Amino acid sequence: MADTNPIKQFEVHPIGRFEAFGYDLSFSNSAYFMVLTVVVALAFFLLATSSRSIIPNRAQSVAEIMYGFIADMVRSTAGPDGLKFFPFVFSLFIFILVANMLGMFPYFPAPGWHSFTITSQIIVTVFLACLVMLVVLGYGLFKHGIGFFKLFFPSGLPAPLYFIVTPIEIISFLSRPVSLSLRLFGNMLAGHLLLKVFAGFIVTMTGAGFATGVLSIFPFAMIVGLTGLEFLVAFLQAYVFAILTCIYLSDALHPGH
Amino acid sequence: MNEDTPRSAWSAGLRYGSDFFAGVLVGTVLGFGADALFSSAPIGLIAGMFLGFAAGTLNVVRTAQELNAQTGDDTSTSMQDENRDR
Repeated sequence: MADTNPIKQFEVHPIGRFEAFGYDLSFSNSAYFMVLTVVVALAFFLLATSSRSIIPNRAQSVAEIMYGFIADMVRSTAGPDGLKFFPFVFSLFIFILVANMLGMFPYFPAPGWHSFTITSQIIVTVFLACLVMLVVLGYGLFKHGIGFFKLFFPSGLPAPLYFIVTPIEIISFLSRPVSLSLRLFGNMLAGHLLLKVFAGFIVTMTGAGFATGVLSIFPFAMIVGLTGLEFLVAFLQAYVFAILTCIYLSDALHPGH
Repeated sequence: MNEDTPRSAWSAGLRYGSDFFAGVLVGTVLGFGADALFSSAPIGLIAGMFLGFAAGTLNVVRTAQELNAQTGDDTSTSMQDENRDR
């Protein structure tokens, strides 16, 4: 009987064993998919933009639409001076999008023939969120110096209220990387778990007998719907991550607005 | 943003939820850490939790403002229409 364990898809297992200075630095399937994500994204954009024709072909127009989409988003949320962060936001968006989409393959030329969603690992999303917050903090402090902390002191309040408002603002700022990473992680984890749980129903019902086997058309229909939803979520979460990055960057560009 | 009307309900709910949860979590953890530092057993945890709730609510309010700004001012126009009818 097939293995219906829905957690198994999240297992990280080493492909090539490698140890240095007593640490286990093996090349895992997670690392394999990260490298693959970068290679796929790079290859797509190199191929799409290689012809540079004035009338774009199909791949080139997809690349141009993506560029325009993110550039518009950066301009409208972070302002025109936010465009210096466009390469950062665009790289984040494409990395998350391609990683989510690679995770949607049921079978994949990878060890174990199973795809792996790197954004369903909280350590990856926490690192991405910390990277965003470090850029926001670093640029804000570099650009405005101590004036960046005006973010925690909203203007136009009676003095005693600052004793309450400032801690709340600081906690709100610190909660941003938490919610940013938890949302991406939670969405990808929940969606992929749900898919595999319903897929497991089909296997169990078909194994239980003919009548239940016929009824297993219902979980199958559910999977078809959920797969469509998952593609939507995969795109949407990359978009939400990118737009929130822009909003936080706009705080770094003009604090205390 | 008409083309993403069906998907926005799902994503907006998750955004509100994770924003509020993150505020409470960070506030409580900070309060707990302050307790461990200053050995002021329950006071820091309680204060941190309340401040965390406040920060989570602030996050939700800001997210709501943002989403309303994104979807355009359809709520304000509809309210104006109601007033005009009266």
